[in-house]
Amino acid sequence: MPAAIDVRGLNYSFGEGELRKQVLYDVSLTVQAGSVVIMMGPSGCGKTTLLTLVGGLRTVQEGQVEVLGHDLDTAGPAELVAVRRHIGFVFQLHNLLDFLTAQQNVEMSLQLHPEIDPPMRRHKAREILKVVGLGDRMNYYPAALSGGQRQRVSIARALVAQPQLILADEPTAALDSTSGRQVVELLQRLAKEQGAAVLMVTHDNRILDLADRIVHMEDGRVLDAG
Amino acid sequence: MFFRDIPLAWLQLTHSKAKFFAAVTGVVVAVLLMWMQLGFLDALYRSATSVTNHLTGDLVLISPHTKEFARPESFPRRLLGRALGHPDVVAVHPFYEATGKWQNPWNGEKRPILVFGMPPDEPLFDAKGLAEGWSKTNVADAGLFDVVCRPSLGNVGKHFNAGETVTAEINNRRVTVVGTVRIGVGFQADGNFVTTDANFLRLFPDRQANAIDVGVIELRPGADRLAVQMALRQAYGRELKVQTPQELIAAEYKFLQDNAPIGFVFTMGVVVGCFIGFAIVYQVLFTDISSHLPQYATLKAMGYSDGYLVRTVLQAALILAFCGYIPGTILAAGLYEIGKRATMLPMDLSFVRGTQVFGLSLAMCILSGLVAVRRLRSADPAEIF
Repeated sequence: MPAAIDVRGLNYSFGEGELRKQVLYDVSLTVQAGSVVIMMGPSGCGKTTLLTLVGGLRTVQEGQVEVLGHDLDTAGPAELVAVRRHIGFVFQLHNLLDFLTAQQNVEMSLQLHPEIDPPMRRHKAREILKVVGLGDRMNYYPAALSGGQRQRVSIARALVAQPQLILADEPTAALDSTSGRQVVELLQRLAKEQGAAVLMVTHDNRILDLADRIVHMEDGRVLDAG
Repeated sequence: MFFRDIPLAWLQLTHSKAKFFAAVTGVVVAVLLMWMQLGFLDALYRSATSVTNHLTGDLVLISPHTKEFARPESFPRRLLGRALGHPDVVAVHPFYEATGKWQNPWNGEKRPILVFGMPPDEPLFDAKGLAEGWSKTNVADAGLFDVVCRPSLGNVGKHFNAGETVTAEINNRRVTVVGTVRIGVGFQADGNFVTTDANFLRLFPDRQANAIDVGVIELRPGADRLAVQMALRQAYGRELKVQTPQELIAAEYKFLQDNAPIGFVFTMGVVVGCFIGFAIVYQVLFTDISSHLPQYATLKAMGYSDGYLVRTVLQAALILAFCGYIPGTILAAGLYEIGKRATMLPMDLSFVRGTQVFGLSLAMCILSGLVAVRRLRSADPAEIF
């Protein structure tokens, strides 16, 4: 089985000329399909930049990035958009659309897959909302949900299209410790069920036991890539 | 595809009912302004030619110095004889026209009225009521009153229909209304009074019988009007203009468009309406985009294209255009009715103007959408982590 993420010799800098500042130095990282990897490190160490490169949200400057069998270092903007449709994103803030109900927010993710017709789309959205424990909140707007519930909607949105890779950036940062742990447990369980790989950036020490592997980063370098 | 998808633009616009109502109200105001300005403009142009529209005859002779039918320059009556020399011309009728002062018999106020003097055997208008009343004008100081006039002249029609004898003064001379006609007023005068040439000359003592204002030519049935027109143009050279009534109307329109400031004034009104609508729609769309930048960036991260988001914003602009146009047009219909009664100007919701207003509102909304869309560039999915 090929790796979900395979990064080799990745360098990345922000800015131009004299202001140029390198943030990633010769980074190599492999995430096997179906495994949960947590990435830790101090603020500004480059972990979020690495996440955006793997997610196809930035253009690779130097090095190789292979995600779900696509070479992102050679991909054009259109291919990057196409690859992103097979990745589930979970953000620090839920970023749900406030004018859509929980169910409609989840459906937005499925609408990117034209092979799923509208009745199936609604069915799948309702099913996954039941799985994340929001079966009785499907027609609620985000404003009427608690922080933990919103983050569960955003996990449902990230997972409903059954992506093979989930990228999460501090998903517990805006939550209290109990609901934070519940949310990550849920994410980990569903990812395992679907066989999806998870790469998660976090500062939260209480959830480290949910990872198959922990990677530490510092000053733009991976300290212990496995 | 459109109906299958979640209607993002619609849901976003209507999520807050109060905000949606405010936005639509803005577009309604803009649409209403456009309707009113364009309506008044067209009504003024049309009313300016309402008298000309009722003129009978195949060809019309006027002085080359006459720019507006309601303010004619006189020319010598003997010139008419030249047209009679053409074998296809059956008759040439003289026609007098001048603006007099009508004194409202009920409140004594003096208002401008257009007086037409025509040969007693040949009324040169094709207007409702003329055929019935014309024979009664053949007595001194009698005439037909145009009831499609401004209220300032007094409610002559009501009193006349009630069987009363209505007398009033024109240029300080007592006249009797012996019948009513329906012609329509422009903005040079508040009403029309149709009478015989003899009565006309009594009302305007400084006018000479041999100085007429218009010559109306009647052709033999089956005559080639264009050929006669060409021949008469040759015959009159620069002395008189030979026009069909349609050409006369068109020339008058053109004169007004080029010379009267109303075109500019009302076009400015339309521009202001468009600008109000543009500003409101832009404000709504811009605020919606700005307050949803992280969410839009998230949609981009998930795999939605820039095109999808641009389409969503433009859809919202189109929805506002539609939702504002319909109530705006209904309100305009009501205001047209009120305007019609107050000014007696011909204001109608025409299909052409409806298309015009719709096109303008559409352009206004799309333009604001296109300007607001630039804000989307700030939605960078790489920045939301």
